[in-house]
Amino acid sequence: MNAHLNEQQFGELVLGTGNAEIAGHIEACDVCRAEAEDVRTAISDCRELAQQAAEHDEIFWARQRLATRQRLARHRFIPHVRWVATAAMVLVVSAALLLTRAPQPVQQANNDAADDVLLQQVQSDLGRDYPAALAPAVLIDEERNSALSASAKQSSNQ
Amino acid sequence: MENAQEITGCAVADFADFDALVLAEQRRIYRVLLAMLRDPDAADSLTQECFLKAYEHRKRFRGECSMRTWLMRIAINLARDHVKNRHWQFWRKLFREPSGSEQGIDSVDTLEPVDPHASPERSLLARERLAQVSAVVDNLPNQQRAVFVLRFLEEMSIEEIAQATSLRSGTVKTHLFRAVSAVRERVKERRNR
Repeated sequence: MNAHLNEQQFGELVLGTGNAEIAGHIEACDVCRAEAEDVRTAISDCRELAQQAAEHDEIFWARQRLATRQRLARHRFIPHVRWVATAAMVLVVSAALLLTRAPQPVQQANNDAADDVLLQQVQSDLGRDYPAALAPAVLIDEERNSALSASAKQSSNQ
Repeated sequence: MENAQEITGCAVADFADFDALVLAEQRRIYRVLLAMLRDPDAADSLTQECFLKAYEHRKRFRGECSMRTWLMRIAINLARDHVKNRHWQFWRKLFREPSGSEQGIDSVDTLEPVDPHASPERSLLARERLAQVSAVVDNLPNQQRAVFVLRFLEEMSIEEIAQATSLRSGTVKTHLFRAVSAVRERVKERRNR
């Protein structure tokens, strides 16, 4: 193999899943072998430093456990508070809806009065001999009749 | 600790001994979160959050993977959400504090091993080495960094990483190849300097 290891082959090598061909290349190629060694060293350094950075004394871990337990206790309590708050909110909204939907007393009285007036108008319309719309025609007819009767009287007097 | 091992190793845990679970896994979860976030305070807070989430969603745990892997999945998701929020906070702070007082979000200071007895020369060398090595991980995209940390720092198998990150095994391997390739390039650069 003349070319050096590609990305995938190099990755397989570092992951420890390389095949015989990759192993053979590493045996023969000084460049890839040196690179692989450097990469392994860098990764090993990373691991070591990450572990060192995460090291703390037992007080730190005990404090973390205590804080976790305290947060858990608060967390257990909060759902109950949420339920109570939700129930209270539902009650308030329901009450508000009921109050706004009930008719106001003054408005109810005004409506009743308007209904009475309308009923009276209907009653008086029903009591008429003719519809209100024909009132002008009736007046004309009455005037014509009175004029005719007047002329009839004059002619009888003569 | 033996009891804790049993809890995390078994397929289904009933959270009967929650304290034992925290005791068994807190170091590991904290270490992964610190490696991913470079922020000790956030790693501490999110470690607690991880156990709270695990308790809250304990009924969702059906034993398809180990408790340890399931906890790691919660931790990875928390770290991802934290990074998203942190970017937003960075921009907010930038506009609020234009004087440049914002520290680099990936400052290597947070990963420096505490050794108050080291000589100044030794501290300097350690700091330089730390900066070089941390730059390798820092420059990886989030997903690659997560699989890199789980594989090379925690030595998890590809299948476990796939379960912890909700990725396919093939995708995990692709991320790992790219991460290794990035490390390779970085090492090459360092050698050529």
